Amino acid sequence: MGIAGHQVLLTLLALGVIPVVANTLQAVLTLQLNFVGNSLLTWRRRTSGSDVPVRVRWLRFQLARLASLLLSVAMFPVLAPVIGTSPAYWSLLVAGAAVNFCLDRYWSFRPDRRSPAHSAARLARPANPRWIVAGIAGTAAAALLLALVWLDAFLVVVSVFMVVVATTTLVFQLYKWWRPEHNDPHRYGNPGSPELPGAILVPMRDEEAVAGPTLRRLSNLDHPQYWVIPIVDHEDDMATARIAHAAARQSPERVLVCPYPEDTDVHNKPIGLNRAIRMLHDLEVPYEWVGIADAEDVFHPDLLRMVDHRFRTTGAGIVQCGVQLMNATTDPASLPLPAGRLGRVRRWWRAHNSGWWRAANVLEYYKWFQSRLKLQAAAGVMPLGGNTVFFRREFLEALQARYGSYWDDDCLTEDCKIGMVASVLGYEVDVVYVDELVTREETPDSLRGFLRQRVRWMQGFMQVFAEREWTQLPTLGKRVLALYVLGFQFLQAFAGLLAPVGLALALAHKAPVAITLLATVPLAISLLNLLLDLLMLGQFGRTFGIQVRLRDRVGLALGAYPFQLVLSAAAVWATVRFARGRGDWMKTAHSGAHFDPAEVTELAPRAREAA
Amino acid sequence: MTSTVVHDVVGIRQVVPMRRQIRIGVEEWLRSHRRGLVVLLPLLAVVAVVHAKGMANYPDWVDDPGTYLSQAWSFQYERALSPYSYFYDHTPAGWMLLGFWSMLTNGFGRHATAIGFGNECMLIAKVVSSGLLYVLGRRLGMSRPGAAVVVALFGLCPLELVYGRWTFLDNIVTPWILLAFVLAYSPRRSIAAATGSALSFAMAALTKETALILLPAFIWAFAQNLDRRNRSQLIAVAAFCGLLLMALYPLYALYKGELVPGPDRNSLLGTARWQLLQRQSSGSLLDPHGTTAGMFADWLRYDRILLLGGLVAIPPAFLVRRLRPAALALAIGWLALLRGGYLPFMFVLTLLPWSALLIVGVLERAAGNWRLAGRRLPLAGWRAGQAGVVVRNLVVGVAVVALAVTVASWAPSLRQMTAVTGEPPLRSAERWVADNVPRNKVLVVHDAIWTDLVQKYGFQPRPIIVYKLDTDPAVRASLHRIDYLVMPDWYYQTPDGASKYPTAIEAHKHAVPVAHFGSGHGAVTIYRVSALWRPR
Repeated sequence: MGIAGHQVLLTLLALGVIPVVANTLQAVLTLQLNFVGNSLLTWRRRTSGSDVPVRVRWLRFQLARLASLLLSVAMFPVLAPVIGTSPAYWSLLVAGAAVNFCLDRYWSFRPDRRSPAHSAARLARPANPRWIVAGIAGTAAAALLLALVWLDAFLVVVSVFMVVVATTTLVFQLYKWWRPEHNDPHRYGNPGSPELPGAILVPMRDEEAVAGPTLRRLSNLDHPQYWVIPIVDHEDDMATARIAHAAARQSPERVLVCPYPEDTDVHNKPIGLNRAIRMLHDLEVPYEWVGIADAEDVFHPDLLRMVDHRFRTTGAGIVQCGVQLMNATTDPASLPLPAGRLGRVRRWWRAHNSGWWRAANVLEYYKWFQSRLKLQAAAGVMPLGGNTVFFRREFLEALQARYGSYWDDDCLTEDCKIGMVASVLGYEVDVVYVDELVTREETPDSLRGFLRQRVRWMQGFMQVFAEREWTQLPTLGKRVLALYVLGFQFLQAFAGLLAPVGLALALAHKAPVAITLLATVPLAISLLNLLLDLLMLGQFGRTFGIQVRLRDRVGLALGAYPFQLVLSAAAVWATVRFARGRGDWMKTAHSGAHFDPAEVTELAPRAREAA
Repeated sequence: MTSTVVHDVVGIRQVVPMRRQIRIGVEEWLRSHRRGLVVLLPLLAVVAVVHAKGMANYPDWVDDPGTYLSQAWSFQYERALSPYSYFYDHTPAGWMLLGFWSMLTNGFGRHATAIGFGNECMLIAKVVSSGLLYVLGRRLGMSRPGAAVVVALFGLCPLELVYGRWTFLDNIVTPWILLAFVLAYSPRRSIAAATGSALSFAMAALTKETALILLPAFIWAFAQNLDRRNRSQLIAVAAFCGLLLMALYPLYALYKGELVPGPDRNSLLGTARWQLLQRQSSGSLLDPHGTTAGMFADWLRYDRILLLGGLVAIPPAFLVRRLRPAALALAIGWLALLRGGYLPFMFVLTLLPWSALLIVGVLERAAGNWRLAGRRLPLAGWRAGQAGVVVRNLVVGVAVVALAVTVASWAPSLRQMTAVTGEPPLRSAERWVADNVPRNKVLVVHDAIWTDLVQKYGFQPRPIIVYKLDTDPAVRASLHRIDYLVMPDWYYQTPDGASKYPTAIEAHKHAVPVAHFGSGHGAVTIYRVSALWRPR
């Protein structure tokens, strides 16, 4: 600690800071390092498992050290004439050390014993959204101040931060290819005959375009014993309900319609899901697992066998299967033909000027489900992917025991939180991405739709962060990872945005060459990301039999920076909404574009913008 | 031993604290590698002792180490890449590394001379290179005794000892290149290992740009260890990171505005053009009158076995799958010798590690090591039978005898090299100057003593390195007089002198000798230049 403080002092002096200020800064810094060292090394055993929050300990520590310092300083002129300068100094030093030790042991780092009842089911207190946003704004303001006062230091700090974010992003996205075993085609084993009964819940609202084909497909999957439970609202959405009942009449041994509860005004997914589970219990339907499907999902017929196999072999509480967006290219056939004049021309135009963000979105999913989720599952921190997720009954019962309901009625992205809770409760999550078995989805129709979807997700992440459930994760490493994952979307967007800005600033300001070189590195890593994206676009095309043309790659390359702009805009919008506490459910429009047109017989697809 | 009661935890990591986890990890690593460590560590100690004993006195000081150490000193104390203007003659990572080591450990302050600090760094580089050679041998598939023999050949060869003691950039390149190969052959084949490998090669190129000639061999080694399951992403990430690190050098020149040639300034491309096109060629090895042939004869005086043994081992090594990239590396070195072009005398350092590796590799393969052939199964056919056993034992016997003979023939040279007691003449000259010359005199000195005169003895105005006297415009502009000349005698006798440092030769004609040290080729005479003479 002393050596570190000395080095800091020398550095500060070398940088031209005046000695008094330098000394004060290094003293403060050394004190904080002292606190960290004490809490992590010396007193760790005493304080682990204690209820006292870290900031209270920190405050106590600062007060204690300040008090002992003032006391020593005050005592010195009193003692020195009596026993001599040198003995006074050394005795005060020793006494001060002893006092510090006692204060540390009996006050700052005192182990507080919790009562057993309190420790049984401890739920985290959610944080105030305003505080979080204020914190973010404060950090931004401090950074801006530093930029105005001392641009070189600002450039160094920002560049280092961006290099860290960019490198960790890269590592997360490359997890699937990190070692050859991670990409082995036989890594999931061979599913045998299925043994576990289950149910698939399909919440549907205003989905007449796709309800029929979806239910028909879901009813014909390759599994001997499972139920399909469409959840429909008879009051508001009679059209979809009619389709659901028709399907139930057609396959009575497979489809059971669940009515959305009439006694509530709020309409969201979690309420419907909870109701469906209760219905299963009431009707005493045997089920070992529950799956969630969106109204437009296309499950592969063999998917349930794989899920069954994974539940049995890994004993996981959750099995997350791959979801893949498919319309990455500028191929006009991947979009619906609009009605009216010049339909084909308009479709061609729309395909080509939306290709850049659709390709980026598709690749995001590609990397998310193949790499990031698996890394997070391996680390035990698990914001889930959304749909095609299957829960074991045992896990749902554990949720019920802890929270009183299966899904949180208030949460915006129910999938993010439930994954975190699984990590907290210690249930393993198994991520299965087999190219043939992925659920095929589509990107939102328009850039505005994409933006709304992204805002909703980011707001959901912020909400989960604010609820502080992640603080209950068992180890420090997992908590850090959870914090990073929850904040990742924001960090990535802003880092991508700032990378060229940093370099431009350094060049314009004629910063020292070393700093300019440092500012080049984040931009270079963004370039590496782009190269890997182009590579993966080709791999995606080969895997799913989609032709990727030069214009698709060019669009992806040119659209990389605008995509970061869009993500940053979504991040800002989400922060604003979060601060205001707006939690309503923004639905994104789906037009069923990825269905085979021959299958859609009942109603012509209609694209609608959500309100 | 503490016991813990475990409730409701999923993983053992949640219960065992981090410190203990790390300790358990380290203990496990030591236990699984104990046999290798038992073989390697004593050998490294022997190599270190042989290298270190007498390194202050032998060999004599030459100019390149002095130059690099003066640049390292300037990096640490002046935050500049050279005490004079940096003109992109070599990539700077080598002396920057020396500078960083000195910053961390107060290197220049701890040693009485800068060359002493350089010797310490070369000792570290030698030990690290030897360790990496062992690991590389093992990863290629050699047995533990075989890899140990590679280290012994490399560490105890007199030729390697002499050149390894001088602070050359090649001695810093060797650990980086070996690290690049070691990581390229990583058994885990992860993106991290591949990226580390590419970055190490980039560091080698940034230490001395001539390391780039080994790029084909490195790429071959890299490609040999790829797994098709993660091949594309791995190549993309590793290649990009390696290129990025290498690109920092031209980017540095670009940001300083010194990339393209222009009037009155240094430039990277200008120096590169001069080095590739305009430098005087040393002639091919096959030309008996060229410099290269003379250089080669000098090398052979120290030792023939490793150099020529390596040459002989190249053709059979190409037949062994895992040895091919190393054989290519050595072949490239020999081709450069045969081709001619400008070759400095420390070029032998590029050849020696690979020679040691190939000699032992070929013998091991002949003795029946099937892992070197890239096979997963042991021998088949006649090699598995009686005849095979006889042949293998014969080869092993011959190898052991050859090793004994080699070490025995090296022992006298080694003993002589480690037992030199007299200090180098330049060191004595430096002492004399420090004791007898007032600090305000202008000296023209040899590179090796420049740093000490500036740092330890505080000569002001700063002494001038002899090669900069006529080539650096800033020096010429500020030159008013010369008071002393401190250089080895052969500087005045070589025919190049009049073209490279005419002012010094001219001053020598107007000077009287005041002190003389040493004898033979390395003798140093200190001259005091007449006060009436002024350089033009």
